[in-house]
Amino acid sequence: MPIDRESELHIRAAIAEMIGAVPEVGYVRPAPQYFNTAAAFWAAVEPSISTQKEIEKRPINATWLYPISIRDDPTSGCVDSPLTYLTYEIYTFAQYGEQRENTEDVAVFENRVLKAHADFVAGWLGIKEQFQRYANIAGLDADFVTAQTQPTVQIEPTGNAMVCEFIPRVVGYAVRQQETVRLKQAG
Amino acid sequence: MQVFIDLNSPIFNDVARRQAVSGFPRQQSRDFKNLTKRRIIESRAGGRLYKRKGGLGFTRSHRASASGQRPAIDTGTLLNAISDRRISEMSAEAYIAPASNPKGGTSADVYAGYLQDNLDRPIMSESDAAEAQVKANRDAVSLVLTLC
Repeated sequence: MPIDRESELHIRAAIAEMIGAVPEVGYVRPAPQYFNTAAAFWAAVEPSISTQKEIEKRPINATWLYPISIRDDPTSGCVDSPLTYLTYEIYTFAQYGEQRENTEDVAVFENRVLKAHADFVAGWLGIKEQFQRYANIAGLDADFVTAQTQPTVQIEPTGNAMVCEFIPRVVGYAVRQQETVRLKQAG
Repeated sequence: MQVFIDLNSPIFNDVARRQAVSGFPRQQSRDFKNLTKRRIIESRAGGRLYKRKGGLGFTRSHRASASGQRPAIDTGTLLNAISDRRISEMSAEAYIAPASNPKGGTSADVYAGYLQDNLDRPIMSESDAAEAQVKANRDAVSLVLTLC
């Protein structure tokens, strides 16, 4: 099987599964899916969160996964069957509460803010930890002699006060990591 | 000869004393509520990992609390349901308000009772109550001193 849509989706699902084992990364979506507003995000992801108050009380915490590049390694294999590197971007975003409700205690609010950041850091490091080894992707043995994840690479520092790439006007912490899968076709 | 001493401190004024003291229980219950919330936020869950499905192909996982630990925050419904209220002039309480729980339609107070009593996930712990008691006694002394 060549690297086609089915095999790519299979690989992406496997990576999403690994990311999903880290609870702090929040919702994981293996697609670069956009939303117009925070309300649209919640309407699609958790329809039970529907009122303005519920939306304001529930900061968005999510990770998007999508392929961004593919390249062959000319020094390994041949033109017909090269070693191929398929790279994915892992975009993790954690919204933070911008305003304290009048009824909420200052110390409780500050604890929430600190926890949001602590969870973001835990999610970011958790993803790194998940890929901190060469792991074979199951289910591709018949078509690929090599289908292996590698340690992630972080291409830019974590950001504070970042507007979410997939939901405009939602601000929080964000980080991009890249995961490159090594693929070598069978035969 | 008679000597009169005018006890004009607010502590001898019925209205002033009752006004000052009647707000005390509510303030203590509010402080206990906030302490409980902070402890839940600060706790780190060490239980099982559960997978949850959202809409549109979104998935997520949730690390539950282990037995004896405070409940891990998942949707935040339970945390937000921790409230306080005045019961009478001299009593107030921190309690779980019966907000609906979107996970199963169970009311938050029923869910909290189940967590605490059946699953040993203390929401309001004895140690917090003891801490609150010490603080309340200290605050009571301060209150009396401000009235004198």
